[in-house]
Amino acid sequence: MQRALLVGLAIGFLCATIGVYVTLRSMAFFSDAIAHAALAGIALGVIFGIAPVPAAVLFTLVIAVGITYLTFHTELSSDTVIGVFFSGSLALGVLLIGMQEGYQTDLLSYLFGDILAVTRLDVLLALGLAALVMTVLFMRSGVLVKIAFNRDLAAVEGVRVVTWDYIFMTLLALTVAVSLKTVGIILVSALIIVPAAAARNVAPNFRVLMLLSILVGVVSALSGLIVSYYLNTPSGPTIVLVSIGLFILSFAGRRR
Amino acid sequence: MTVKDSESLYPNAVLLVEDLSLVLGGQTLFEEVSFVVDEGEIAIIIGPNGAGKTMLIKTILNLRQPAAGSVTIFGRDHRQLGDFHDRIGYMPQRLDFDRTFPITVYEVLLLKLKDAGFWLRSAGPREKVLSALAKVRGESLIDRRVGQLSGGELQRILLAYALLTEPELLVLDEPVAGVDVTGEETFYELIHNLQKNEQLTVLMVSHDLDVVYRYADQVLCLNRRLLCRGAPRQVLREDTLEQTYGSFAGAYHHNHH
Repeated sequence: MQRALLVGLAIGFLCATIGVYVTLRSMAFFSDAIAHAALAGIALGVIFGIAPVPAAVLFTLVIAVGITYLTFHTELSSDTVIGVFFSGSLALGVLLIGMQEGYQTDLLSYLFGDILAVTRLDVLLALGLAALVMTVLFMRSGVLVKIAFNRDLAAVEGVRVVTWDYIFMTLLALTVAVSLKTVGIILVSALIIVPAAAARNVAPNFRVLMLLSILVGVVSALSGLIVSYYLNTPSGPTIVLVSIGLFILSFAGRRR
Repeated sequence: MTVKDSESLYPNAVLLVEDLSLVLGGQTLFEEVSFVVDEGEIAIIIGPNGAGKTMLIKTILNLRQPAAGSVTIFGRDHRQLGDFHDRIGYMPQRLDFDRTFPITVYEVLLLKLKDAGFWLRSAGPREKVLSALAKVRGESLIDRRVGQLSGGELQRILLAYALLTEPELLVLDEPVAGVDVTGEETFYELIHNLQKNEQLTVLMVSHDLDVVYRYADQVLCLNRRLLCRGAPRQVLREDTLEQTYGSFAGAYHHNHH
């Protein structure tokens, strides 16, 4: 249980932080797509004997780059491209996992999260990756906000906007991979979006926005985990429902 | 002509544009554009809608890849400005941003200051932001949310943002598009005074021939090509205006004299 809470704390903090940038850049759908791509990544990892987290990261990066490339180099809208990759990779993942004998039960835990399956290695990995992503997000927050605010303005100042797009995508892929076991693939993007959305309802400025988002993320993760442990429900949906509850509260008290 | 040749011919040039062309989606937006802007000059680009003015500005600033030609700013190729980026201030025509997003004027300006902590804040950077805002008479806007600013207020903030690193070249793309006329008058006066006090070089796109006549040192008429180039008195004549805009603009000349 302590292990799960530690991972929950790291993930709540991490998802909420990157979530502020994901919502700022209107990448909610994109983040959901790459989370679903992770399923295919894990399935392929099982087939080729690669551990789930690295396999997930690799595959989500491939999908993320694929989506970005097709959006920029064809006439297809980003909406369409994301939708196609989303459904394609999810279908592939479900099929592949279904074909592996003995992995069907694992499918549910990958899709919805399972705190009981959290191992010591998971904790170390989660804390390590979370620390890495957080370091980049906070040390380079100025650049990230600048790009999200207006790309041309950032580019004129010499910011390599395209390079940072790829860096951000990588950070997002790492965040998703780290959160898989606790929250599950279906709902990890909810943990990324909802705390930031809740904070946005009441925050007067960016600094408070980040603070509140992290607060909502951590509170949702920890209380969601505790409740799911005692009620014996899957951790992912429980955490997300807590965060939705907080969103409803913040919406009721929103600034106009 | 190489960059070096042109540099010796134009020793006071802040901006040197040579044979610049831009092709997007198979269409030529502008071609063979060449001009020089000297230190301390105000150069204004005029032309009808769709003439390529915004794209010319963006190409000069390396926001778009030219099909041909070169741009030199402060003696450096515009693709390799390095630390020279701070010497340029840019005010885009339209700022696309999410208006519901909670970020204050102070925070946006903080982003541009180097060595200013964004999360842990101190008094020094706030002073710098206030003095940049003072130049545009916008100190009272410092803690306002950017999304809630009026058109005129946003213009002033964008100008303050452009001026924050104390640039030597100011590039403005239709700075008062969408602001009411009285707002327009003070805005151009503001730019003019700033230019005098801080010895700025200004490259601006404008639709207002009145303003051009009053403030420009050099006028550039763009309609896919540079159709005229020179002092307002020479350029703002019936024949050149007709060539640039089409016949109804010729009426301007009669009203002004």
